[in-house]
Amino acid sequence: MREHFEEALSFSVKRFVVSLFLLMAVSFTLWWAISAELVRPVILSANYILEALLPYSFHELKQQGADGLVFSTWGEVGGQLVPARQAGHYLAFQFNTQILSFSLPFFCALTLAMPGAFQFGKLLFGIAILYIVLLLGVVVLSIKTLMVGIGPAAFKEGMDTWFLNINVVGLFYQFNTLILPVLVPVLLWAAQHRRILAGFINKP
Amino acid sequence: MLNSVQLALIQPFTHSLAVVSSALILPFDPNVIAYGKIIQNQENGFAVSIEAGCNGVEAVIMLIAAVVAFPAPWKSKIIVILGGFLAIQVLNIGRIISLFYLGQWHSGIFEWAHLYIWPVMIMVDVLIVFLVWLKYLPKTVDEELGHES
Repeated sequence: MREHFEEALSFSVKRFVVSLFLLMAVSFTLWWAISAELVRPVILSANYILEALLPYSFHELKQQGADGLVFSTWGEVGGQLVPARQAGHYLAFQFNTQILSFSLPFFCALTLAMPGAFQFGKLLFGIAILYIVLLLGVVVLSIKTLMVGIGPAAFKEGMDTWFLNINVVGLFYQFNTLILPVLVPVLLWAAQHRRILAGFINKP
Repeated sequence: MLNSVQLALIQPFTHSLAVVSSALILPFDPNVIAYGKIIQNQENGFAVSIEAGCNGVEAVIMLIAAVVAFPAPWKSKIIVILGGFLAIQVLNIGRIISLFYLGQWHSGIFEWAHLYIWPVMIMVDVLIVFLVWLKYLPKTVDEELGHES
């Protein structure tokens, strides 16, 4: 525990914050350049999950750059929703995955800004957890986008499940887009450096 | 229940953020008006609406959760929660004002700042408040945490 006291006592918030901002400039630039590639496995996995969750209203999830494109099983004829086969086309709706994936460069900057020996394993573990959260976020964002696009009635047709309730979808959407992308990186960072944080309150 | 909290607490608070932001802008830009949660430029019609997620409430909740969960004297916790609330809202008003002008200047940069940069900045603000508080916490001994290593 002694070394954690020492790490805590020598920890400079100012130095950490300056490093964090510098690293964020780099990591966010890199993320912006490769965000389409970063989200590719997530879109592929989310497609399988959505097929299982929404067998009636969901057709396919595709990728367009860093955006997701969710296809419904509905089409439109004369302003009315009709089954896609009848319409001859599928209605599709676009959403931005970067509002979720910015948690990746944020976590990388937090981890790299921490003083002391850099542990690659911690970085990889954090990224793996963030990918799970990102997958959940893309699934929820697809569901919300589809529900808003075709309307709750067509969206729920043939299914009466609690998680397709408009309020549940709304709550999950808010939680996954507003809270998790900023909170999870910080929680992971804090969990990985909990001994230093504990050192703050156990000063010798 | 959540709706009544929104009506009684969150919405009036969000409206007050719009009023404070426009009051800070007015001495420099007389074309600005605020109504409800909206700030608008009367000259070009551009407006921003302060929605859920833009009022800093989530960030304050995260700070409160972190501080309450951490073993420390209650007096110290209350001080950091009040100070942190102030720090978050000062930065949040900076966010609202900056987005109001960025939106009139460049939609691409507005989107970047709105969706990616400012949410991270607000979270970093929460983290800084928390770390500074930890750094200057009075010396206490917590046996449970002491056994962790």
